[in-house]
Amino acid sequence: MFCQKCGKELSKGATVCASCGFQPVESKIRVKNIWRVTPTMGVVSENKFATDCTACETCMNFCSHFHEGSANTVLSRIVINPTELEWMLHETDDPTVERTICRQCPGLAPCMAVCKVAGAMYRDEKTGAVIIDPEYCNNCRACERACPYNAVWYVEGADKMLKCDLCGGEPQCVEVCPVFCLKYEKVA
Amino acid sequence: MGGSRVRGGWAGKILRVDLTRGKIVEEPLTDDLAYDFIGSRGFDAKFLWEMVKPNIDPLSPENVLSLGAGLLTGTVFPECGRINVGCISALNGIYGFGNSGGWFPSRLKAAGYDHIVVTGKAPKPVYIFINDDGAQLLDAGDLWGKNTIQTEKLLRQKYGRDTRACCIGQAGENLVRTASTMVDGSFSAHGGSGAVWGSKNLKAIAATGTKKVVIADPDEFYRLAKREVERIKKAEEKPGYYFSKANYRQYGTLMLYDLLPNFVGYGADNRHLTPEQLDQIRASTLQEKYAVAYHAGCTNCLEHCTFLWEVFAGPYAGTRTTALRFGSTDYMTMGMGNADSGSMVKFHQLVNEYGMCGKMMPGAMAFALELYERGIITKEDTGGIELKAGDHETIIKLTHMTAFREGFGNMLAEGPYNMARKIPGAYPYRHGAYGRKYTPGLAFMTSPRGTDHLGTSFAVFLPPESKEAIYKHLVKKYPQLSSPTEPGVKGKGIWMVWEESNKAVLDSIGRCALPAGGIGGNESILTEVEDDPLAEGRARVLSALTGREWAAEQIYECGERITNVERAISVRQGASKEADGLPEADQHIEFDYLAVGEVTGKSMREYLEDYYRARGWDVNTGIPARAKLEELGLGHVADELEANAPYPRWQGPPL
Repeated sequence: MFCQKCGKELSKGATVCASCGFQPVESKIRVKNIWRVTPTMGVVSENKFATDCTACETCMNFCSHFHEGSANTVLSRIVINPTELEWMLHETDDPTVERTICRQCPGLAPCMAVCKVAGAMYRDEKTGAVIIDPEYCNNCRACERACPYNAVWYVEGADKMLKCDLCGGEPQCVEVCPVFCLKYEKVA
Repeated sequence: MGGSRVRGGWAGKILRVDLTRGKIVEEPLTDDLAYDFIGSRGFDAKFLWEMVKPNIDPLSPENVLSLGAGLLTGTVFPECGRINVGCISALNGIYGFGNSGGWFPSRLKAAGYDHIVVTGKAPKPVYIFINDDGAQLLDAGDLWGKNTIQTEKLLRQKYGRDTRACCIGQAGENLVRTASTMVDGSFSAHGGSGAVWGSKNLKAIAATGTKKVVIADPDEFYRLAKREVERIKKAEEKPGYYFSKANYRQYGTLMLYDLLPNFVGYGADNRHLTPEQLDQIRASTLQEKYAVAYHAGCTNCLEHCTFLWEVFAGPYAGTRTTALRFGSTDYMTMGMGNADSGSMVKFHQLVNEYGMCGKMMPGAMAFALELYERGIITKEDTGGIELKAGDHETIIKLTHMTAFREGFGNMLAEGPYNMARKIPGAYPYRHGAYGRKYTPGLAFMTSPRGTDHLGTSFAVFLPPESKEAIYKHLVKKYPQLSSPTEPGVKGKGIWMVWEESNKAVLDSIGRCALPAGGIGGNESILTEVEDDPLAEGRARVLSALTGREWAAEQIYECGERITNVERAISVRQGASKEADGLPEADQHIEFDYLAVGEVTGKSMREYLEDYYRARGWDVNTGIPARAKLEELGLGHVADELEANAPYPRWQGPPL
């Protein structure tokens, strides 16, 4: 039996994980393979850094449709870093990245470490993705505050936490990106 | 919506804004309107027809500004993030519409609205903000006087990053007739609409939302959309074909500069540039010098024809802009004999920020230059400014002056046709049908909004085998047609009607013309449908989206219906056979559009009559005939057209 949260093996009969203090609800297989979607840097021109990303939001629209049944960029789990969008509006200063895409941190992910709701967060067995189960999640937003990468957030319109779940191993964003600047890679 | 049937695709609400009384009314979208006119451009035509009285002044409060997102906009289907803006054009006084991409259209659908119809005139500057909770009319005192970039930036700072806006710049506020509706700061929807916003004291419309567009069969629709994405990504390159995807993605429409020496249609305006000078403004040369980050695209776009530019040296160092295109730089280069590439970027930044049409505004300058060279206007008329070919500093100066209607800019702000009316002796030299200065050809004569390449641009750029495929489909219905790949095409009128109707459908479903219409042989929405490559695939997509079975003919009929209503609006404004066609100054020009030969007075009339016959319009007047209108279910349009006839001949808008 393994701890749901930190993945460490529990001593026999233990009700509380010795290393993280989490109370496991059911046994899980220890997730060894962890995958993630990563945006890649593209062209570096003479004068500036530039990505291949065209800010077309195709990934966001497909993500939203795949998970929510309709395309709306607000409901997307991936948010492209819209440097170029800002650039188009002639903003020279670097914009703060409000949202991005989950890195599926290997080991004890900060979001899972702070989640106190049993069953709300777990690792997908196939991809190692950190999944939020909206049935158990109470939208306390602790994970949002804990995440150093702004990769999980609450959306009022949908009334739930949004976070990349790797689409069960076939990330739609990677499949549709017209400029091939997203890649699906194994991290651990 | 009745019973258990789900109507997908449309957001389902129309927003009516009465600026005079400051009232906003929401109304549900009826099935009749939705199924007969599809959306976007179709709704624009319908609302303009219903709400505008005959022969109005475009800048009066009676004019209606109608804008909305397409049917496929706001869904996952690729290359469909478009908006259509319709009004009686301030530039030429007939029905005018502009179609533009950007991010705003999808946000409008996400906020729960298909269309916005603005009437009346606000007592002081206002803007409209739309979100999940509905629409609000707010004071735009702090936005008035700001340029398009600043306006959108301020709105996004106020309402969050997901907010997007369309607005006007200073040019629209100052009622410059060549001003545009600017979507997301750099996408222009012209059609003479910028000054109409200004005349209504409306500065901007901003939208954001988290609502979902209902999709009748989400899984099938998702499958079709994804297959379309995969097809576009894998579209094969056709060797030896210039309008290829690779070239288009690399250079955008700027690649047309590379074709210029062979591009006979531009002969009229290409009188100043030598081949060496043309080399300097080639897409490849420009990109080496100025392109910073390579591509950008509208929402859900896989073509990304927009580039980001920065000038690093020379008098225009530090200039940044986006969306440098052929269509918006041709007159300021070829028309003005200017080959300074830095000034191209600078000029483009200015028209984006002031919110002007990059075609009509320099078109007015090029016309002034022509008049100056002919001695019709002198230094006294221009306020001491000497107009000469290749003087880029003057171009930039006049652009500033036009936006604020200062000095000679006040004259340029009227647009080329109205200048011809105002300047004594200039009238014989005017260009283009319905006062829109452009390259001539049959398609440019028959476009619903006056001379325009975007009424039909479907088959022009298709590779020969795709043209042949469409021909095979059309010839079944019209045996008199001859192949477009051979010289001397017969039945051009039929081609024109087919193209215009299909273009109307494309604009109405909100799909971009370039990828759907022909770059790199990308003509079909779904490839495996061989019979009618455009319509069958569309029918399948629309059926999955809306939950109602669409047939290919039905969609095509919608296109015909829309173009007929558009024509009817223009007829009320004075359009007729008399006013159709090109002025004499344009008639000597050869243009190889579907192998159209020399356009002379005689052949022009023949082409037009051929077109009227194919349209089912009256050959003697060019007015849609009752039989055709009734066939399209537009009996009421025929009634009204007859009731108020005859209409005074079109002269342009009151000045």
